[in-house]
Amino acid sequence: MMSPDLLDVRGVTMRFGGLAALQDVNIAVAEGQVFGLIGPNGAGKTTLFNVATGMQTPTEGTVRFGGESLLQTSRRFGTRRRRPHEITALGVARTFQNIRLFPEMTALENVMVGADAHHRQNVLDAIFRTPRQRREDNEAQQTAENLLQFVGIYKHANALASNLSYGDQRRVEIARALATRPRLMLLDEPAAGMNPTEKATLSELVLRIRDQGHTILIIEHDMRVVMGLCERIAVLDYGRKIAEGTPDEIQRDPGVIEAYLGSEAAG
Amino acid sequence: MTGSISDRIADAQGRAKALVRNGTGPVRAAAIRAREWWNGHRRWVQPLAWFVMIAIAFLLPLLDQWFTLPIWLQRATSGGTLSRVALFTLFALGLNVVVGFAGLLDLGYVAFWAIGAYTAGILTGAADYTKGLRAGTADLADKPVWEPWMWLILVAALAFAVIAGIVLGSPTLRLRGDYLAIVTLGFGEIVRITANNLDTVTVGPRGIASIPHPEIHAGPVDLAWGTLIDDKYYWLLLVFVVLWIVAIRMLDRSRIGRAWVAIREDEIAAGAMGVPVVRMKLAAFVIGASTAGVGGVIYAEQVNFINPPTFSILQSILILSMVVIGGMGSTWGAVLGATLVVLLPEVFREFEDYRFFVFGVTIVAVMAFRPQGLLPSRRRALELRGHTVEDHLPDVEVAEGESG
Repeated sequence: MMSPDLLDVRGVTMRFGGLAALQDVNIAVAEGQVFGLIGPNGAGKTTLFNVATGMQTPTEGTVRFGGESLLQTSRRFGTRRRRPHEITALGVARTFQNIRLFPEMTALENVMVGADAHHRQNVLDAIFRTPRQRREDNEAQQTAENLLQFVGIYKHANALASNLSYGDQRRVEIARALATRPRLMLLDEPAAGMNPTEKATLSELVLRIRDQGHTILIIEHDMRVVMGLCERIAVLDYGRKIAEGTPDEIQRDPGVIEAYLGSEAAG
Repeated sequence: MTGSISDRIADAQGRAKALVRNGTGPVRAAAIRAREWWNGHRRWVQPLAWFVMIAIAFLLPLLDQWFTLPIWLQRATSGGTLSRVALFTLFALGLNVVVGFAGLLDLGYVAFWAIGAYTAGILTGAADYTKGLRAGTADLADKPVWEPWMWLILVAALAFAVIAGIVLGSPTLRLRGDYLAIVTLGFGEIVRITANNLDTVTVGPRGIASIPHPEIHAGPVDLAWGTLIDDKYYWLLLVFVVLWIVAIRMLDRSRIGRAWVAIREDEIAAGAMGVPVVRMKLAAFVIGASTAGVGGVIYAEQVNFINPPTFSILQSILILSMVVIGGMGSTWGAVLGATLVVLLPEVFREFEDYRFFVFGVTIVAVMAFRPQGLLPSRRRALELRGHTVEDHLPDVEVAEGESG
């Protein structure tokens, strides 16, 4: 059967020595969905993100994106692992749990780096200021300005990323990921460390991103944010998927309650 | 109540930071006014400033003929010293791309200088001549003379340095930090030792002599570069320095420059944002290598004699110290760093053997009081169209304590 899913994680196991960070995890994210990934600390959520962005190669299992293998690319002789920047070019972008902006660059420049993901100018183009270089740099700046406006921090465009407030840094990171024109956005705890007002703004931003046609896979600890945003949720615990369903189903699932609150509460 | 205390501490820290950033001292005010003036008049002031600077640089060796200079300034503006300044400026500019922009610690930079110099030594026929002379199969009549095609050696050396850069870079640039430093350190030594032992090609430890000085005879132009102290070497090198500064500034302001800084700041995030990390590192490495290759050719043609000990690890360290003193990632810093590191021992010649001590103390002082370098890189902040930075900076909220 042809899978209509945008991201299809199948049987993924990730072992670090004796520790299995992920064990036989299956997750399918349909195009246009906001898909939530929850679970206690150390459940393997970020590891799954790392696998889906090519930063770590799983011990077993396959990851397909839009029907293509995300892990490997074929070349004349055999296959080779896809590098992170190639996966970005395919249309997968992410943010990081512990914000990873380029601190010495301005917010605008940070986002321009993302926009450059689709640019092809080489060293000679840059030195001789060829038309391609001018067009691409103009385009990068335009994209970056538009996106900073979209996430609502246009007025800080020229501030160094390291000088921005925590919430604004998160938004620059989202803008930077959006600049790579992803079909799938992976958001790793975007609301962490935010106050309730900021969380509300963020939820609204995530929905606006979805409405622009991006599919979203989101890791989040704040249940109000998760339940409000996601159409489907998967729960990881000790590297295994223990439940998957709509927010209502997840909230009633005894296995999930046990994982979060302990066995007595479930009983 | 611990929450409120830590809140208050964070608040106080924030206010302190804001004060430093938005301080209202007279110096700061003057700096802002100067920058505003510069921004307002950039269109014609900038080219003019460039022109004046280049003109002054070109006239430096002539000062001695027009004015009576104090002895130390005479030494500093002699053709020999100035061409060393220009040569090392070129090297520092190249290494700054590798170390400063892309953040790759290259401790074997001298290897590419050696490759350039040996390319000149071998292609001009000086290597064969030196060998023949020692074997008794050649005599003074066979001494190589300059031919017009020999200018192409610059291109050949650039190509060889690029190839060497790719050969060394492609497998090793996947390494990070310290590992890369050690591999490049090894590469520098390999090149020197190869030059020492590959007698048939490089004439070995006794070196290559009689590398011809360059000449141009084209119509009305009739130039012949002379011995070591000829001012013309300085002018030749200065042309390359200017070309390289322009090229590097262009790179810095392009996708390539952004990619380098992104890699330097956070390699993992850069990869995740679509920066082809290894390819961009290789580009930086190769640009650095080609710079040293070109400089090496002019060096060999100037000093006329090269041998392996010239290209010791010490030279790599010296060039690196120029970049660090000037300010990593800053083009003008590299120029200033190279100028100081070459000139200081010359200027302090009165101190005789102590001049290197004075030089060392100066370097330690710079690093102690200005660890970011003399002209730290202030990344050209890209400005929104139609706005200035000052309109926005004071709005910046201060990061919360927890942001880390």
